[in-house]
Amino acid sequence: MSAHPRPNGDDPLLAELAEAWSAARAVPESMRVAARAAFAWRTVGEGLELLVLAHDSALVTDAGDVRAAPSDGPRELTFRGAALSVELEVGADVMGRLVPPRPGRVTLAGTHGVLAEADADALGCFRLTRPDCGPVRVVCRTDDAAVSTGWIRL
Amino acid sequence: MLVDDDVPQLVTAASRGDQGAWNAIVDRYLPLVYSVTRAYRLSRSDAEDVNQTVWLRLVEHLDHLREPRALPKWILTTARHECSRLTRAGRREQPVDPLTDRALGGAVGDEVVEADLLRAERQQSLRDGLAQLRPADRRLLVLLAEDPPRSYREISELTGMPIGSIGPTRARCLERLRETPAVRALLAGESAAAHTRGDRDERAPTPQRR
Repeated sequence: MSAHPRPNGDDPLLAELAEAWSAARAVPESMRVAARAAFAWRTVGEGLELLVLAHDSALVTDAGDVRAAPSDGPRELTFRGAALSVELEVGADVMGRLVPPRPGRVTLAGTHGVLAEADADALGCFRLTRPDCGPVRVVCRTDDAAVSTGWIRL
Repeated sequence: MLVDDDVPQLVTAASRGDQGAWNAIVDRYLPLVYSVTRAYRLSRSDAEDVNQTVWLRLVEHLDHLREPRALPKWILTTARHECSRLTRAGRREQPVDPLTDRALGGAVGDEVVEADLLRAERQQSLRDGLAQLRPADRRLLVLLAEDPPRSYREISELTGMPIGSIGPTRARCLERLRETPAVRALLAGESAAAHTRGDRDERAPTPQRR
């Protein structure tokens, strides 16, 4: 005789635990692989100053209020560093500017390698092709600075 | 969400380059990230993008995480930011109801997203509580929580525990789960919220607190 047709059904805590457990089991394996592999990037930024995200027009409204109206126009980001900062405007392309203005070399790097490269002109302005998807970093080198943004999706 | 004492150690070890510690952090909080992407109804490829971005950011951020206890909160917030930005960007291209300014056609309401996010947080607390139990207790509860449910006979065969003692042991394990720091914080937060809408400082600010 089966006295326990549903052994986890009679305690709400156990029932919720079952849901929590099955939610954890539902995570696609590809996501676990990507999350573990992210660790390989731990030392890649060495020698580059990691810029601090000082402004992101996509995040100016409170994160809790998903209903907040999106700002019109392209997304604007500012990454600040000790000697060199980077401003990005993400529209059809990625328009950027080094601050203070100076020439340099700018690289758009994805997890699988370099996606685009461009020179910053004397005013520090550059243009990059916008990546389709995936997290990227913008690395900028000038005569006296080598900086990188954190990982972002543009 | 409250973390047990091994998480700060994992964070320290990972920031020294210990891949095993990193994997343990991933295994612990990956379901939270995934649940957040589900709450926002992201497509699989968007969810993969958000997931990768969250973990790459955490790698970058490990050395700067002054308070490792804040880790789950940091993960939750980062995942939410990425998801909500995607959702908003998507809405720009969707037809919007001019009266309510809400997207038309299959979009779920914000309150549904919020409810799912709360559930994701609760479930993470329960998994944290499970991780805070003794291995034998954890094993029994995991067996009991499996879907489809196992019979007591199977559980007896797997654990070597007599069928007659599974019920009482189960009750004691659940009691100990309720007493773990993670689940106690969860239950305390709920009763405080029910009474005063009060002190839930481990969570995101709710509109009621503003």
